[in-house]
Amino acid sequence: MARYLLTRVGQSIVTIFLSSMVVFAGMRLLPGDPAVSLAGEEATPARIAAIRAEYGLDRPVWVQYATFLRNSLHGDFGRSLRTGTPVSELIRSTLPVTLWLAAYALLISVVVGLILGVVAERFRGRWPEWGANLVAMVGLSVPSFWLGLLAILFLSVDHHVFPASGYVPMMQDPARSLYHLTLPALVLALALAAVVMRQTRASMIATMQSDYVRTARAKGLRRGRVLVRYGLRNSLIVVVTIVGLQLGGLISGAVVTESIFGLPGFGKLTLNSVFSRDYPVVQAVVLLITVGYVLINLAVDALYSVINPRIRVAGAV
Amino acid sequence: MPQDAEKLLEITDLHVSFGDTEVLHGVDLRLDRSERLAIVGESGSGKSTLVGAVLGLLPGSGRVTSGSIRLAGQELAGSHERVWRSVRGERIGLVPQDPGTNLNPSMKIGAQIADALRAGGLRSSAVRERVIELMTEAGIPDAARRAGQYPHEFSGGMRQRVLIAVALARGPELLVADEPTSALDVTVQRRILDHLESLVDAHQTSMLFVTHDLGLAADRAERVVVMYRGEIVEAGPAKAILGDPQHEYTKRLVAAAPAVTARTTGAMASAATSAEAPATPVPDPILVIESLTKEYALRGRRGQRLVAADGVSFAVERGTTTAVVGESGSGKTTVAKMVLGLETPTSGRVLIDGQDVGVDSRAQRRQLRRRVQPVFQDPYGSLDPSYTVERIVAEPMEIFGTTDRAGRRRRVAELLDQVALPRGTASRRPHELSGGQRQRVAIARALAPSPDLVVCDEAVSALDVLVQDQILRLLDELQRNLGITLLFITHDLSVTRQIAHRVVVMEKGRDVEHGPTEQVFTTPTSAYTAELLEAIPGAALAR
Repeated sequence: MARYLLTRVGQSIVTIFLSSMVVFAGMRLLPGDPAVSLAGEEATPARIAAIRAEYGLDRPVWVQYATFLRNSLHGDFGRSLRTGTPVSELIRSTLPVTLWLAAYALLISVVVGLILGVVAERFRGRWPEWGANLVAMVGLSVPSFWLGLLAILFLSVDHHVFPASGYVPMMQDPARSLYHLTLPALVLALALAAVVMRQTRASMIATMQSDYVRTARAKGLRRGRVLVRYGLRNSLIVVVTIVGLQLGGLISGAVVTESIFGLPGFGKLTLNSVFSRDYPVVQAVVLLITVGYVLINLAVDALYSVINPRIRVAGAV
Repeated sequence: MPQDAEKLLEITDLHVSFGDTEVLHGVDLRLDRSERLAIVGESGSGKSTLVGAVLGLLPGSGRVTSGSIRLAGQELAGSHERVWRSVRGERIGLVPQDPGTNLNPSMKIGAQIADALRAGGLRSSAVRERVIELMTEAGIPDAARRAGQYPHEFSGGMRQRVLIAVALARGPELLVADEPTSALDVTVQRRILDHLESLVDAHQTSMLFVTHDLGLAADRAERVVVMYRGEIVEAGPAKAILGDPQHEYTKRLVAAAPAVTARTTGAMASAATSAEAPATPVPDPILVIESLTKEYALRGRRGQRLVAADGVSFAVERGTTTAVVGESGSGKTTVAKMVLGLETPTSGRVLIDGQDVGVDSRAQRRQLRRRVQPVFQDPYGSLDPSYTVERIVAEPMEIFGTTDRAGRRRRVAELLDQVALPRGTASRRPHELSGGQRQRVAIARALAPSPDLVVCDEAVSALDVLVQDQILRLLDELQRNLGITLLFITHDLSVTRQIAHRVVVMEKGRDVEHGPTEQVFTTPTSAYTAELLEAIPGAALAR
């Protein structure tokens, strides 16, 4: 088990290293020169050269990469070309917003998705399944920005249930923070909830037809117990994989959602920095997203071995 | 009435349908207290459906359309789920078929047995103790420790013991054993059934024993019921039915059961004459295996190796059948794979007509491959479902470039004739065919490049007895007409006796015995062979 996880951690480090190279190279290959855009409209060649020298853009690419790597490891991502604020500071102020939003959305989608999935299996061919399928269909097919706008119109403007925008830090006032985050989290969660519901349903249908479920019923167990301990537990393996793969989608979804609800989050930072070619910020943001992805996958793998005892042994042997 | 007090299970005129299709057409059955009754039938005969109906666990759209199922006088057919729950586990225990799939893979063994006890309302303080007691009773050593393990840490036989513990947990009056050992090796099967029998006797439990194996039914039950196409065609004391079958189907079944009759096919007749001195070297060998060894490195355990085959040597005479017999893990399939060139030996040689299969030249290896063709166990898995039969059979000819398109077409038709399939089969796909038909296609495919040696790896073990008999006859006939040599890998000694001229018995990677079939069967020299022979079900019939 320990060995298995250690191998996975090693693989993750290699992945992160390789992706840092890709991120760095990718930024250099993009058209447009940051020094030019930074110098403004009335730039002289001398001014541009001065800016290059200041940000080290005139040095060889590999030197720039080495510097970038060393500094990144120390948590120093340079300064924003646009505002001059240290990138680490920008991240520190925006990341929690997105993490809370994503965590909240994840919680909602998993809870809603699992319940709907189990309900759909349990009442196959009857109205609860149709209802669950309808929710999934809406979640998968309606774009989140449209849904977000509808939610604002209906729940905020017309009925004043939730605020349309604004953010309160979680540490400052949890209740008000959740209140502000609920609507964006719901909007963000719906697509993932739909995916979780579908996977749960499909995987539950297969599991509930398995031999061990029949044997469990032959023991005289109640349906509910069979459903949870025999059905759901074994279905979760598939669901966890899918959720892990979809979490990335949650991050990109957050970019849109944050823009609609005016949340000062990581997604908004990403969007703004890309539009203004703020290299240091984009680099840091993309690298962090990559690291996030890798960590999520690592967590998913670790979670597997908890759910599925066979993997524990496979890793140990 | 005193007679009624004896009656435990009484099924009258039971009809079961799946959707609009009726699969049980008026089944009548009666089981007395502490009686053992066997239900025998091939796949599709409705025996598993009957089990489902008795437990109120019919899959999918299955439902009882009419008739009655009475357990000690209480009507169960059409009962509410709550009633069924009070019956399942408490009054009827189920020992299911496949120990590999009937335990929850993500739940500890102890917890799975405990579940059965808790469903019966046992207090949690007493549960653990009782779980260990039940496991010990079922013959699982070191129960206290093993209760904390997961199913994948148990062997097939041990898992079946766990399932027996589950079934007997609450001391039911009736035990339904649905093919409880068909997935296990014969020696394990025998130990488990002996144990099950002693437990059932000790608790005076009645047993409904469902099996496809006539010999097993006769060994293990007092009365036998034969099911065919959703009906009971014959019922009575085991000996009477098998000694003097009345119904056409039962007659065929008895005739086909390999262990029952010492029926001698053509192969057997010649075997009897060629069986001479034990040390006679095989004349005119087409295949010679010389101290063949295969080791696998065990993943993650440096230096440790699994020896799948350990210095195996034997020879196969041209135009005859040699059976390699052994239980799972004996290395028989590894040997087959090396003969087919699918695995490279760690040491030792495989010679086809004096030529080493492991030659370096690609062209020569290819030539050798053509001469040795396989037929595999699973007729469902070994044929590409998206190909037509014609394409499946023609493919080897295409690969070896034997003839042109028109020639291949003619040859396919000819091959289908040889394996007794209608020519129209050529345009069909595997899923439209029955298991036996598929295996015929697999044989036609093996014959396509005109091989000298056909390796049959458990080629008939997935088939029903009657179909199995037909395929064995077909192979025998093909051998006589085409002169092909057969290397028959099997765990089934009855099949071996029916088809093989010579036998090689394998145990733990070694060839522990070989010789002419009759000699090995009548005067085995190794203790292991004797144990295997002893475990063959159907001894009750031979008497």
